[in-house]
Amino acid sequence: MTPVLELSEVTRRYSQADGSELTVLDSVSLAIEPGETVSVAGRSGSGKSTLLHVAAGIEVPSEGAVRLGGRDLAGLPDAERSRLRGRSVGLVFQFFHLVPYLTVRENVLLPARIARVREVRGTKGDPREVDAAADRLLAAVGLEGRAREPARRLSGGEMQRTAIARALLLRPALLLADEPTGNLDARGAGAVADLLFRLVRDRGAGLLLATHDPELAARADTRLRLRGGRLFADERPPSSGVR
Amino acid sequence: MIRLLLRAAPARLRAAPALGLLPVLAIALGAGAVLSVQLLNRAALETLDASLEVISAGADLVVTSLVEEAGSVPDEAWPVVLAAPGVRRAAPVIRLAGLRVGTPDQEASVPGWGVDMVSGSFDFAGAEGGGGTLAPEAFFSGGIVLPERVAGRLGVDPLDPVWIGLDGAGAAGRRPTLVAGTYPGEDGRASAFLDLAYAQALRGRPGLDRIEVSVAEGSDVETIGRALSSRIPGVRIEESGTLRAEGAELFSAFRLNLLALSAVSLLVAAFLVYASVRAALAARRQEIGLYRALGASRRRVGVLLLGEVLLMAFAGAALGIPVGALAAGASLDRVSATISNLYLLERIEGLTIAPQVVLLAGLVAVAAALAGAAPQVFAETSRAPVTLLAPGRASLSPARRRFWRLGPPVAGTALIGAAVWAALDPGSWPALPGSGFGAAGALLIGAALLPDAVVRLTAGLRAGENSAVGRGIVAALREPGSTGPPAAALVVAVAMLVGVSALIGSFRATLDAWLGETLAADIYVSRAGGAGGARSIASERRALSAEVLAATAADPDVRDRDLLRALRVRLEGRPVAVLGVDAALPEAGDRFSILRDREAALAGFGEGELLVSEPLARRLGLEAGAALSLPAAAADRPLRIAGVYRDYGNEQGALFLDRTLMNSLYPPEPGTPSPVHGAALYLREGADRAAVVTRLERALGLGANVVDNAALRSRALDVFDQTMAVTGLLRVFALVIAALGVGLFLWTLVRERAPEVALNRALGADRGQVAGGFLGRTLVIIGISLLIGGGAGAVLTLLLVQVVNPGWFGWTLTLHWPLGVLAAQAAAVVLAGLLAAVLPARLASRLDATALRQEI
Repeated sequence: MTPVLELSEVTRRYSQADGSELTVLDSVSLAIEPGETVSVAGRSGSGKSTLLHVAAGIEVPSEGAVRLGGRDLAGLPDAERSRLRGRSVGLVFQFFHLVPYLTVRENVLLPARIARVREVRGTKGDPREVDAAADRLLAAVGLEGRAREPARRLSGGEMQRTAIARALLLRPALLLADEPTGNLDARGAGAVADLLFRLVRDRGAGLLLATHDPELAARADTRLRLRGGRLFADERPPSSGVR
Repeated sequence: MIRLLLRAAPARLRAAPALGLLPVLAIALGAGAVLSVQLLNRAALETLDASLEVISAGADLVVTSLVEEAGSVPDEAWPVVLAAPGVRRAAPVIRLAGLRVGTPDQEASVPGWGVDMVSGSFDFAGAEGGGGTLAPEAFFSGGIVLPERVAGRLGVDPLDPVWIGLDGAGAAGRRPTLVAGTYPGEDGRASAFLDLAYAQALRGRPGLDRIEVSVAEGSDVETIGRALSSRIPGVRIEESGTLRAEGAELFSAFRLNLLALSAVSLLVAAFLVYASVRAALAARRQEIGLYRALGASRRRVGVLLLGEVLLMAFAGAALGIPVGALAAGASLDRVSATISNLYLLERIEGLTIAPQVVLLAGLVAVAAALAGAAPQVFAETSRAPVTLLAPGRASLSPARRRFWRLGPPVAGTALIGAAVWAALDPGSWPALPGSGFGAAGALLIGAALLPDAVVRLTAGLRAGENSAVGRGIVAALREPGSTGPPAAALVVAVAMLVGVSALIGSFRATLDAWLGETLAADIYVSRAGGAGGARSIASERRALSAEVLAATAADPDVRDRDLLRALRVRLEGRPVAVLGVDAALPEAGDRFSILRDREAALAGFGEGELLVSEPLARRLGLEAGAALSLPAAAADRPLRIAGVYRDYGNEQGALFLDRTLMNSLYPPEPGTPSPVHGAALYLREGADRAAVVTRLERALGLGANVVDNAALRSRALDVFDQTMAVTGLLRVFALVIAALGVGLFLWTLVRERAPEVALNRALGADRGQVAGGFLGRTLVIIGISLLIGGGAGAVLTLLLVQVVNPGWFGWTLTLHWPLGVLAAQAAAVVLAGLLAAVLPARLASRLDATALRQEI
């Protein structure tokens, strides 16, 4: 089976003001199969977000290759890389990143609007299907009653649930979540984590989760840790994807 | 704390250069617009002053004629004045309107005077500050004394040969002479001097224009003035200085129009400052909250923020000085042509950048910037520190929110309502001076307060959300705070463009129709240099020679001639043209567009009654049936007014009467024929008009202008277009400032919304889609501006046509919408808006998804 995400010897370096270079990712390799959940732990500034950005094609690695669903991102023009990301990857962020003046439902529908799609993979192609999918996702995250409210009026937990629904709308093969519970209280964090894992598993998507919350990390099939720019198996050895 | 803010200012400018620099640029353009208009107005006034100022040093009184035909103070009046008790000196003066001096390579326009130095009545050195050189023998042989500035430009020195002539007389009218001397001159108001006799010869008729009188020490000026009035009939005695004041009044409407247009640029700039300060403060809410939390009072923070605006305003005002000077220089020719056309003055030869004018423009720009910034500074400093510190949630109390949400549209609607009332029912609007301009100002401010509310009302509209442009449109409609302010600036510019263009279009259409209606004759003949239209009423208009009159009478194709005599009198302190025509001529009535009861008016006119122009009727409150006494007329009897006619050639006022009656009221000099200043020729049926024109031109040489009515009509419209051309630059100023505003706001949005852009990029949007989103926002700003600005512009047009013009100029205009011009301007607005959006959209499209590390 083709991995939904494959990183081969990925290095990401940044130039610093004094002319030196800072290596944030150092020869990282990773593969995620469909339906597999992987967590990456690490201290603040260890490179977790950079790893997710590289995996999504938001940042280009200094060296190495990134393949999404078997397609190498290297050399793809910006428009094509953007299109691939929009169709294949769902993103969940620590700070939610909802558009405040759009309603909850409009936020969920945003990926479909950007990708100019009216149908969701696996449906019959009804032009209204994407709208129906958004409504189903809102029901699944418990926000159907607030669909028409501006996003700015939601609580933190509601905002993150909206962001999860948005990330899953186009049934992406891969979900990338960057500290999805980092900005929530304990109760809200538990509810959001439950929702995230349940929906990902229901849809058979791969999940790459960056977190410094050990409890959340422990829920993943595979647990990894970033240290000094390199990726290590975290505690229990998995059968995991570290190569 | 002030030091802290000042130290942080460069860093803030580096971080957001456009937010700091674009308002500076807007203030600079606003200051530039005001400065350029002030400089041009001043230059025009200086030219006028040069023609009106008393040229004799220490003159106390000026003797002029009640009837202002050129040379209408008789030569014989001079010895009478000289002999009057208490008169120390009396200097006879004639003014050479449109004097041109030249060499084979260069020529220049200069105010010219004929003076008498033989008797010592005119003290050249004393009058012009001394320091000059004079070769008396050359002067008394017809030589000319030039200011050094003009001599330098022509490259001539004393005793060098030059030619002199009057404007429009052509090469044949030039006379060779010598430079009799030069002198330094002052402030660009320097004049040229000829000996009185040679000046009279150049003008082609005897007589003086005025006598400047100095009274003996210890004598009472008023008493001597009264004595002179009683000794010399038909003259006006004024204290020196009043001539200039009256002359300035001539210009008042012209200057006011330019000032109003420059004020619009300033208003747009003020809105831009308002908008940029609003954006800058929104970005600095947490910083302001921190200062407040650390103990700074509201007042202190407010003063500091206004201090920053003040620095920005000073920078803008400083930049505006060269902008204004350049703009004035670029417009000088147009204004000069206008002044020359309307007021028969010399062309304006140069600009003087006076410190007080620069200071005034700078202060006005700074005041506009502070007025634009103050509301936002007040609003931000009124917020509680805790709401300022909460990122993205700095909210006002519900009552304040309601106030800021409802206050502007309610105030805007009220202001627009008042303006609409004035436009639709001008009669019930308070007849205060400037009330029409006041209503126009209220309209523009009211319209600028509406975009926020319109955006809120349309927030529910849906666009094609599957397109990036559609999503940009939705975003713009959902965010009144980011759409309203740039739209407000553009609304003012659009309203001004529509209003001024429609006014000019209405004026031109009305003028065209009026010319078509009143240019009834086939051919018009005037003395070379007199172009008809507005010029025809000027006192300096020269009479047709006997040869010209004989030639027109002798032409076999001429069926009838309508001869015109023109002179100028003063009615209630202002000049009025008195025009005599042949009332008995069957076609004479065709030259008038009568306002009411045409038949009765023309019948009365044929029986010795007056026809008065609409501007004069409005100014003096005259109407058909009223009686009017003409000043200085030989027979002091009131004449009945037969009717009021439309006149778009003269804002000062004019009246027509039968020429025979006019000659009896104002008899010519004994022994001289009554002067004729123009002849309208009616040709026999089937005559070839072009052939007659050619024949007369050949017979009359360059001494007369012979034009057919089509050419005259076309010339009048050309003069009109030339006159209005000066408004073009000011319109462009307002549009550029508004487009800068749109660009500034979009740029600010790019900075503010970098995380939002990044989210779209993360969700798969490519660069084109990001740029498309900004295009959508721009289209909303432009659309709202065209919608509100177009409506406000229509009301402004009504105000200008129905209130301002009748009130200030006494002209009734027929409303005409120049649809082609308006469509072109709408396209220019769209283009300017889109051009302004190019850079921000490009910046936005270069953002990538890494900005997601920030919060939206």
